[in-house]
Amino acid sequence: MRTRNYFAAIAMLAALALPTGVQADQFLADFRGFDYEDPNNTPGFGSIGDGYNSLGIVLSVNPALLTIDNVNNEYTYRFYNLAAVGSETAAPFLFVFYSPGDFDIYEDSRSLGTASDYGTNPVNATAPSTFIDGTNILGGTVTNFVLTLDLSSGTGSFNGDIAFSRGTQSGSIPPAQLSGWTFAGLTSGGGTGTPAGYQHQVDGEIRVPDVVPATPATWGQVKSTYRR
Amino acid sequence: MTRRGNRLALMAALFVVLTPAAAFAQTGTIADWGPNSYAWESNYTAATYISNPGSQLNAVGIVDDFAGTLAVLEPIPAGREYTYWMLNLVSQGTVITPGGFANTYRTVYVTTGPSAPNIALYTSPVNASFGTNPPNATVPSTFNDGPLVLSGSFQQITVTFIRRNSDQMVLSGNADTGTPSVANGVFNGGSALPLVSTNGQPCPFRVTGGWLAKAGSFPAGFSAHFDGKIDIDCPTPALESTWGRVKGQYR
Repeated sequence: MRTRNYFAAIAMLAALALPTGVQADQFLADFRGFDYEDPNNTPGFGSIGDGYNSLGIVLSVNPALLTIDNVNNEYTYRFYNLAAVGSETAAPFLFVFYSPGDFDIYEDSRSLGTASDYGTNPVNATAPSTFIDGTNILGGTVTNFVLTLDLSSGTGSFNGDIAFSRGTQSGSIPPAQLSGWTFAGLTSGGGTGTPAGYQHQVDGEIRVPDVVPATPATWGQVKSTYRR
Repeated sequence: MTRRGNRLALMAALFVVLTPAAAFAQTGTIADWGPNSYAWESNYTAATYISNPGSQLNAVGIVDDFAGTLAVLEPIPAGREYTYWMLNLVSQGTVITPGGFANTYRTVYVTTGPSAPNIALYTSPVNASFGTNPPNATVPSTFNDGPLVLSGSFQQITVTFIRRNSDQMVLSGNADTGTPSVANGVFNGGSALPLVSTNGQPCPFRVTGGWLAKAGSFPAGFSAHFDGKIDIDCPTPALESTWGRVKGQYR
């Protein structure tokens, strides 16, 4: 028992000795796009029952977890099926809480596919259709989605958890990293290029837990590490 | 006004309306950085997420996408990188707005002077390295080396993020320099300046994007992960003319 305590103590010390710079999460994908409400039954943004949607392009991914070819393919994303179920105000900020929804990334050939096109006033003839054609390479369920808006400036952000469960490349992500999360900044107004009918420019990332590589070993191998 | 005058006025109005939305009218993103981008401050209390008044804010990162009028810089050649440096910004102190779900942390950083560069893009062979506890041997030096691609000034940048009350977890955030104007977001140098100018006048710009102050999302000694970009708001150019020249177009 004393020996086990010894190794447990060493393991704890090793954990404590990790440099403070160790990152607790890891980059998965970088995206940029726009958002809109559909359905939008009530005037104003974030009304109860309104649906939150965001479409855009995937700019880069973590090559250790996903494989993309941005030269020959276009990669697009979509947040959808998120319905506002509650809100709270702490002036000038508004928090909007959403029901579980979905997130997907698609791969579409630049030569054979259809280029993504936001158009205006979505849903329209090209949005979301040109963002969800091609191959679904990764997707999952979004939960705990919260959107924060500064009602005075029109800027804000969102945050949510994503459990990946589908897509041709979901198998390339280690099981321990299939539960990720997302964040993004939201901006509206001059310079953002927000097409008519969209609400905000969206710029964010998907991140996943960082997993420290571990090599399976027997107790004998562990103990031999500490023998001369 | 005579009938002829009315006709000319109508024509002039049509002329303005029918002028193509200009070869250069442009709004939207021109440069974007994401996973490799971090900020640090000279007087930031990490345990409380408080930026103390007078703290100097810097951020550096690697550009991963050019768009709009800077799309000509794509694809970025292998072995080459474009980096950015955000600088000369001073904290006015963090203000916390309490809420039931979360407290909101907001800090305004103002420029150190009207002509001080606040954002600069450089290009160099790949060498950018963050290290820890900036400024250090590689930050900002490996992000501000090589030729200057673009530089500009803005008045302030506002950083806002929320901290959930139930578990004190820092969630999403945003950074934004605000609506571009001739006084806020002015390019003033770099080899790509002509690409973001119209009729010799630099386009107004804004720096904006996601801000992640959650510990564990950036290397030790940095204060936040900044997934941001530069957006421009170029006006439709107009050529000065005389009534005679306008009328001459229709003769």
